[in-house]
Amino acid sequence: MMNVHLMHNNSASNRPVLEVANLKKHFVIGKSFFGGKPLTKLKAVDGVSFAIGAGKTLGLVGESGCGKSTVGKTILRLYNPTEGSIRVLDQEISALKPKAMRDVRRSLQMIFQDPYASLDPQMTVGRIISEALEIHGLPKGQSHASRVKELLSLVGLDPVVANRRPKEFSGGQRQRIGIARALAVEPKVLVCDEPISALDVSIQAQVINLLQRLQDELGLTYLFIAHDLGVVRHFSDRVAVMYLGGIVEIADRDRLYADPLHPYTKALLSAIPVPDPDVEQQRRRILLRGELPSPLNPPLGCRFHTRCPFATDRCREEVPALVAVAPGQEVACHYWQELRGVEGRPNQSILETEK
Amino acid sequence: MMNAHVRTEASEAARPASSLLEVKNLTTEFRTERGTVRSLHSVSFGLGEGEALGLVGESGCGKSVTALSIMGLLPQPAGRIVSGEILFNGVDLTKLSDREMEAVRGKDIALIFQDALTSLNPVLTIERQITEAARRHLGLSPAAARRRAIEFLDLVGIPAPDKRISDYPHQFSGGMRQRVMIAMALVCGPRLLIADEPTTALDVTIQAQILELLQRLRKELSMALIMITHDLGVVAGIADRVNVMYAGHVVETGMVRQIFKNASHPYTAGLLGSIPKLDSIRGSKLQSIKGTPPDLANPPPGCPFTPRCSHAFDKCAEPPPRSSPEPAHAAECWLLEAGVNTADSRGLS
Ligand SMILES: Nc1ncnc2c1ncn2[C@@H]1O[C@H](COP(=O)(O)OP(=O)(O)OP(=O)(O)O)[C@@H](O)[C@H]1O
Ligand SMILES: Nc1ncnc2c1ncn2[C@@H]1O[C@H](COP(=O)(O)OP(=O)(O)O)[C@@H](O)[C@H]1O
Ligand code: SF4
Ligand code: SF4
Ligand SMILES: [Mg+2]
Ligand SMILES: [Mg+2]
Repeated sequence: MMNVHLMHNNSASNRPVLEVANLKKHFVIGKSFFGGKPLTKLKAVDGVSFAIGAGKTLGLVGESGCGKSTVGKTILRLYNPTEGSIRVLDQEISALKPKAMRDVRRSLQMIFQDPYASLDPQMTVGRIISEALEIHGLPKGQSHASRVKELLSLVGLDPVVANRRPKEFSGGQRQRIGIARALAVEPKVLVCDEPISALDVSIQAQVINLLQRLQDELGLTYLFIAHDLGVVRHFSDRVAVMYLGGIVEIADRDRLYADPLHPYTKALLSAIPVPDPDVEQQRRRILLRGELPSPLNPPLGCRFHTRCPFATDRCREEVPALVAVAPGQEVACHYWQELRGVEGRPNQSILETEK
Repeated sequence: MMNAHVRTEASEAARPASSLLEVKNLTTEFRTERGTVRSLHSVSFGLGEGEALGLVGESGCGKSVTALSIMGLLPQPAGRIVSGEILFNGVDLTKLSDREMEAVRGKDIALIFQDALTSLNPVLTIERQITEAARRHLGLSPAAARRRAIEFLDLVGIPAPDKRISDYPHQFSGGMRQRVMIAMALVCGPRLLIADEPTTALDVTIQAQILELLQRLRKELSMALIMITHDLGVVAGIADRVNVMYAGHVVETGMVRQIFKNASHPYTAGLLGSIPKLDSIRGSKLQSIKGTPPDLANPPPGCPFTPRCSHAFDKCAEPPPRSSPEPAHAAECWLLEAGVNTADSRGLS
């Protein structure tokens, strides 16, 4: 009995539970009724690929506007993909009709950054959670009420709160309610879009501990979107770094933090403030010049070349492919080998980097 | 052993020799529909010339109200300073008239906010906004004010400042607007800059640029800085000294290493434990603090941290005194007063 169970688990964990390949989402903006002006394409996500095994966590990091949420929402089919494949539990879902998608959402759920906006203020907490059960045609009546209680206890809330409304709760408690709602249908995969960014530090730790316990208890698979590299490191098995709609590096978490290969990953890691004065006051930051280019008009060649301290003419023309460079590590830079161990040009004055 | 715990005048010990700013027993309240909210409870701290003080704590703990109280910018008529003194160069700012305070603001003490987009006037050029203060406070001619503005835009790293000075705020990115705000704050040469979450709205690579800039300017202009942030990493990099605030109280104050390496207050220790360490084991449990901060309209009696504190005992129903475990370091906790080292007892719990 035990053996069968283990074998089953093993064979399952060899296959990715969530797999996206060459995923693209282009938004058409500046629609003009007068025909004169050409439509502009905003390539929010432009060819993203990754796979996550059962019970594992992939962290997705990058700066504001790089396309993290768009990846998450496209996987949930809240947006229709422009191109590419999305496989959930071995089923291709990128072209499913809404009705078929509803069944898929029983295994695939999302929790959002803003615990204030994502819960209907008119509904009681119990109603919010039981609605999720009804949408998916789960048994009604008495069993609903007891399931709601069970879910509230699971996320560390007192079941008596079921008849209160969201405004009576703090940010951290609302995030727990959002998690309970997502878990109502017993999903296998959870896309967490910055679930703790809006919370205070001490509450962040509570929610991280909760998500981790739920993963252990329920065997959940997470796509964990965040901009805090410290939290991602704590939480993830693998980490993907995005820049302007594409993944520039993806690696097992220890590799990525110990031996980052892409110049952007290096800069990002060196920019996180560490809560240790000895580390902070000694360290040399890699200061990137300038700011994120507009995704409406991304740089040609390597998207990072306008800010990369090492860019050459080749970088301005030729797009570097994401290639496997070590077991479990892929990077998209023409010069990753030459730059191995090179930190960038730290301690440059900002004036130099700006001009 | 007991001698190390000097109970009296702990704040004296933590005070630098040459004091630019002295906040003494500052209590600030707001009248709200839910009753009176006491946002600051007898807050005391000092700041020396050229020193950088970090003000940390979770949202609502009173960081911004501290800044607004010093600047005389509490929203009227809801907010008011109930008692206490704010001595700047020996002058009590709470006693100044609006007109006198106007002269201090921007000239001697400058404030920058989290959100540069809403703090800049969208319909005025950068030139108008930045020269206004220079003309008013320094009495410069329009041409001289323009020259000075360009010089400061250059100082904060705006490329081609002589051209960009004619632009409007929306023509600048978020990071550049924050630089413009900093240039505006500095143009009159203040002795003290208060920065209220100046990088919270920015991305981490842009935040790194701004922090580096603030560090450099502080040294070049030998200006004191109060850095308000909820990010302990930011404080670790920039502050000489740190005040940890909780529910309107400064619960711990000390040199930056004392706070990070030898935290004495259970709240400080809990905050530090809540942040994932770079060398943490994947999946290890974070220390975290149970519960949430108290409602300031209805605070617990005694130590404000009691409902969340795993060390709380019967004495905590009374307000804890300030005790000093070592020179320059003080905290408001009964454990310290009793001579118990929180760091040791933490290991046991
Ligand atoms: N519905 C939409 N219509 C048009 N453009 C969009 C839409 N949603 C997102 N975008 C654009 O796509 C790009 C990626 O946005 P996305 O929300 O995925 O970023 P993100 O990485 O999640 O950023 P943040 O860290 O700020 O949450 C941005 O340029 C954004 O303005
Ligand atoms: N204009 C206001 N009216 C009423 N209460 C206020 C006002 N501004 C701040 N407060 C209250 O004062 C306390 C401290 O707020 P603040 O200093 O803004 O916190 P933070 O530490 O996040 O900057 C909070 O309880 C807040 O609700
Ligand atoms: S390809 Fe060139 S521009 Fe892009 S990251 Fe590598 S070195 Fe920099
Ligand atoms: S005084 Fe008591 S409740 Fe307050 S921090 Fe110290 S031990 Fe905890
Ligand atoms: Mg997002
Ligand atoms: Mg504030």
